Amino acid sequence: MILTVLSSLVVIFSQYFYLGKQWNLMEYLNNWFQISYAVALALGFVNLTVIHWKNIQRKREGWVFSIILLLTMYGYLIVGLAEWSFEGPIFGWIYENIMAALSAAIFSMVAFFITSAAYRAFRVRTKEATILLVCAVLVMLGRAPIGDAIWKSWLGGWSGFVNQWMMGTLNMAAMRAITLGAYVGGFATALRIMLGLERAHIGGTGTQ
Amino acid sequence: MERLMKIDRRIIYLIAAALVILTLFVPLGLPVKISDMTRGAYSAIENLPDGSLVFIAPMYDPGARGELDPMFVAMLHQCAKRGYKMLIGNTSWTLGVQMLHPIVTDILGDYGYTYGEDYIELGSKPGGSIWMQQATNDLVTACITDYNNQPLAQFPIISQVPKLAAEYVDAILVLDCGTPGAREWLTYVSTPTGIPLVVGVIQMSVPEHTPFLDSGQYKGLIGGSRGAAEYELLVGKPGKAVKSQDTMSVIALMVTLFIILGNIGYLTSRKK
Repeated sequence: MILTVLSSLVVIFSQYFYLGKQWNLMEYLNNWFQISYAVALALGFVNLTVIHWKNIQRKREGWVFSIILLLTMYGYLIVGLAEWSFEGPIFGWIYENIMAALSAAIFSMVAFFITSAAYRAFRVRTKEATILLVCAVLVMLGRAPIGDAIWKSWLGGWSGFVNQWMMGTLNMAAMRAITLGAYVGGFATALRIMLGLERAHIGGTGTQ
Repeated sequence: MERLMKIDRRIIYLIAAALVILTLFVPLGLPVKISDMTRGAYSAIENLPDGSLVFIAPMYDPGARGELDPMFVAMLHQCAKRGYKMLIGNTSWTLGVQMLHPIVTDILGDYGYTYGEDYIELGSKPGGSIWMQQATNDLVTACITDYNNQPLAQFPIISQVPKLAAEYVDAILVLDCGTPGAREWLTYVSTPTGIPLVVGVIQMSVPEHTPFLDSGQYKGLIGGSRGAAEYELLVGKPGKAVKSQDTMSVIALMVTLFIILGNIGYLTSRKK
């Protein structure tokens, strides 16, 4: 906890005090962070290995996936080190044909889930749910050219107004409130950590 | 009627897949109306002074390339047409730079751009917001090498940009799909240095970014696949985003119809 308090004081000193700026403390802190970042990455690598090695040894549920994970992780690392370039034939091939393709596929599957989820979730159960439903449909259609065509035939020159008003007025006001609330909450949490009132990050019981 | 409430999700998936495939072969060709928001972003880039230098930060990986690649491609075309010099790189989106390298090489090669003089690829650097702060102090120290692991200091373009500051960089163009992204660029680079920020985001992030456009902190915002299509049309290079608009239309219509059907079923069952 003392370390947490001291660290936060150093950061505050480096950012908000004249001497901190003069001594360029922030640059030192940034360099330390970058080094810690690299160490944390290595630590994560070791940690992942230990956890999944234990899974395999004890044949816990899904241990086969642990084998796949370790083989993939070390295999790709070795290929990367051996070829020492993004453009290496094997490294590049794995990236282009497996990693990029899988990553894009996972993201694109969301469209199907959303289609099904929208059908199931949007019901006119209450007044609030009905308002949500109507807004969702209007904005969704408004973001596709078909929406423009529909609104144009109904509303003429006002066709862009529905979507723009919802996004530019209703949504913006709500998002501002949420964002400001989140930042105030973040500031309060940071202050609590600095004052030692919040100890969950050091394995404490959480709040006091 | 109650059956309308319980349509098997596999049927919905199948219809969605069929419609996506169908629109690839039978394009509807609906016109794409250009919004003020996208036009603003286009103008913000277009109206930079001749000979400007821009920093393009494609902060995304293959998952978001469907929406952001078309923006990136159109952005490169617009900047190259205007003759801007370009620094291209991101921080923390390691998986992104590799897929973008061929795009950059092809497009800028067509415009006769010389690597190291007219543009440079910085690759992906670790550190997120910390890297951004370092780059505002000293770009070479923050990056050390370029995408090809060559020392950065040897390239002539870098001598014009010792650090990310308004006197050297005329605009930062960020393509955002998460954290770190445009917000970090705004907090750690654009606000302290005064470099104008133009942002492109995936569709689901549009609501959280519009307040920054309204407040003037973003000089332009391009939203999702629709925004990308509008931007492609403005740049005069219609591509993948314009083609995808038919798919967007039929899927939006399909979801709407299913919502209506589900609610007919729900209201009927409630009456009973």
